[in-house]
Amino acid sequence: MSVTKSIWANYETVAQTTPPSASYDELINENGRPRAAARRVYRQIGKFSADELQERHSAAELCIREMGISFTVYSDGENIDRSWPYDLIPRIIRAKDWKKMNSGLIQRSRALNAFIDDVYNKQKILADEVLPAELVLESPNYLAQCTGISPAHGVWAHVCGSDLVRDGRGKFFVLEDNLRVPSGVSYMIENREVSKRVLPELFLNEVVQSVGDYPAQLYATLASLSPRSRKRPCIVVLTPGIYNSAYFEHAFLAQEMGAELVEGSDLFVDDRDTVYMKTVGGPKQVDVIYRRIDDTFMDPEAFRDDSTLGVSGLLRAWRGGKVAIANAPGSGVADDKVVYAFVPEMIRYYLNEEPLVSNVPTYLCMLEKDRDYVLEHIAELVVKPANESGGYGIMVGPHSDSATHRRYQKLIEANPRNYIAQPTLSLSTAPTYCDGEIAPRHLDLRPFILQGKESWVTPGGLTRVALKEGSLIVNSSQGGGSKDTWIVG
Amino acid sequence: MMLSRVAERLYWMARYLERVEDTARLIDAYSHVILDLPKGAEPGWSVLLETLEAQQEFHASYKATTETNVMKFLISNSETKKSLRSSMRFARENVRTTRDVLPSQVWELVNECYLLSEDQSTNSISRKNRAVYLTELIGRLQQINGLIESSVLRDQPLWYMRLGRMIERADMTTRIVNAGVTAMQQRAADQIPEIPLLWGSLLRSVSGVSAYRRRVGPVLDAESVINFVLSSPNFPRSLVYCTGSLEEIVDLLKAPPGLSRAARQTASKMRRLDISEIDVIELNQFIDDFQYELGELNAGFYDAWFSYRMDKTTS
Repeated sequence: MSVTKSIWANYETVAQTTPPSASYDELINENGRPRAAARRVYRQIGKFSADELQERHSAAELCIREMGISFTVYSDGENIDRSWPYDLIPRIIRAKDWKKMNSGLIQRSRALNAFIDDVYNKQKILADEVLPAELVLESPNYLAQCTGISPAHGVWAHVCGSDLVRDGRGKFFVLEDNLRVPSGVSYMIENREVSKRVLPELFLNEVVQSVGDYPAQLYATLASLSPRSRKRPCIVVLTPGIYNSAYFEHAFLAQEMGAELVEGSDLFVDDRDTVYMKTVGGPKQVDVIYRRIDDTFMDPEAFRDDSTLGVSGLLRAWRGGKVAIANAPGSGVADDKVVYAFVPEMIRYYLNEEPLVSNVPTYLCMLEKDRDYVLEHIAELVVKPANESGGYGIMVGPHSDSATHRRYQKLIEANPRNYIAQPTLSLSTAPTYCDGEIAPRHLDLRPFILQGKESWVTPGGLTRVALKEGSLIVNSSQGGGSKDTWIVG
Repeated sequence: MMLSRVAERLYWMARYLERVEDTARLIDAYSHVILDLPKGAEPGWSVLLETLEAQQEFHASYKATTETNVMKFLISNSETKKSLRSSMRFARENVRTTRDVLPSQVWELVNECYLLSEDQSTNSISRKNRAVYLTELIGRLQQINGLIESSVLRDQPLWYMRLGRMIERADMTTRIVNAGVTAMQQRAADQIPEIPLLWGSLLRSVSGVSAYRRRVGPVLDAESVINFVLSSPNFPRSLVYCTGSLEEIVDLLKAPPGLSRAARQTASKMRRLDISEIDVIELNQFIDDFQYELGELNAGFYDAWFSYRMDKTTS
């Protein structure tokens, strides 16, 4: 060790002074030493002086600006294109630990798809009262227009982004499953690209599983859905347009797959329910639509007639089997925080297997017993609306004042179906570069699960990190950052 | 077969990129020649505005036609459409919405060039910084064109980009020739001796100095320069060259017969032009007609490809 203070000195102190009950740190153990899988990266980063680390940080920012990796936020009535926030220090997960997650996530996706297919067809699970029928049938995400349809391979949610967290002992839990239009996968790929450009020496002697295969896997999944059997089916990515927060990703995936990026106005459905895109040479038939627009905006004829983003007649075409849509309309029925609580039951019911990945214990305010508990313990719990995404409407009990507690108690009493509560997890942390020093910050992980004819899971996924000290809100729309995620060993 | 919308955006992306490059070169060449002219003899900065048909727009935001005002208007003003900065922003917006059909480095280079113009243009008004900035900008745009020509598939997207580039280039070259012809007329009327330097500047603004020397020789006179810029068949910014390319591209894109014919007629009319046989007034009329035809071609592109019509069928 050199005489100058190591860049890690601060971190070691933090690790040793936090109580053992606190968060699990993914790279550094309780003695302030690196965990086995992180040893080489730890040593390599330790060789940097504070100035060098700052230089790399600036180089990464420049690289992101020049590559044009951005996301759009809507604020003060304006759409602002922001540079993607990236943290230098990779998050490292052992391949051995990830292997289990891989099987668990596939299992989950199979059960969720069996569930969606069931509720739009025979509704066996409701008849058997595994979960209350009204919970599904009265959900705003249950679309009556989708009943009686069974898409190719019985799969509805072809792309699923599940959010994972780790508790104080480092055990993984699924926090939620995003089955509508989960985003973030392009940032997972670009984060790796930035790491390779800015910190090439970290990759020396490491075997890091590649994340670059995703677009090819997505393409294969989508191609397996094509209603016409063709060597290269016509696949399009349907975007709401340039002002959508994930437009960067829509363009990225279309480019990587060699698919056409289309807006609603580029497509039309003819009177024989066939979907075409408007090309310079006239109409061209479309086989598969990877839609990145919400269910109810997809087709003004079937859903919201004020939607200008969609394509009239799309649902007709899909129902008639003329076009495949991923994720299928109506998939959102399983993307609900109340339905989430029943996923372990679904795994047992449809697959006759025990869940390989656990759920976070969840109190359903619709059940009297759970509700009483939540109202009484509101200051210790995290309360979430059942049907929101992007981190909106969440109340973290221990971080909120008593006025907020009372407000949520009233909200829950007024509309119990709309709320769930979970214990406040001490989310795991990882070393993060903040204001010139390395400090622990809370994070989560969003792997992407593909399900078509075959299943596939991203090695790792998108790590989102809360940049504020102690904060648990990782959403980039609310000031969160991201990390390159390594599966090693 | 590509989307009509995407084809249109690629066309405009190429037009804006070409516009930035040509305008930057025009400003640079003019700033350069001004330095060589005796004080009092220089034609003033309004020439640039006239060339770009921007007087009205200029006077909506500025009073005096001073060097600083004209440079702000043409280089850095982010609110007027004619500035390099706005054109660069429009070019980038068009690439941003067509990224999926272009190699990713095209987007990266265009984005970097846009960032350069956002960061540097306000500091590049003074004579000292202007030359450095414009040279850098022109270099970046040439790099983008080089990348496009060396990496994009020989297929529709490339042809729509070439279409945009060539029609914009023809338009800019016409404007520059027109400015030269107007200057020639004025000087004849006022009986001012010709200044060869101005013709050098004209060549410079179409990047044609060394090509002219090799083809014609070192002596600069009005008729030879105008003839070279209009009619040289192998100078890539001459009108004969640009219209010939448009004719070829339109055929590659399998244009409907009407459009194909219009492009062919424009090109052959340009090839037949012999300026030794016409006077300055006729030349002026010819240029006006030509500008009109370019507008008609642009409308023809919309009709054939960019405005989608149901009655067309895929081949």
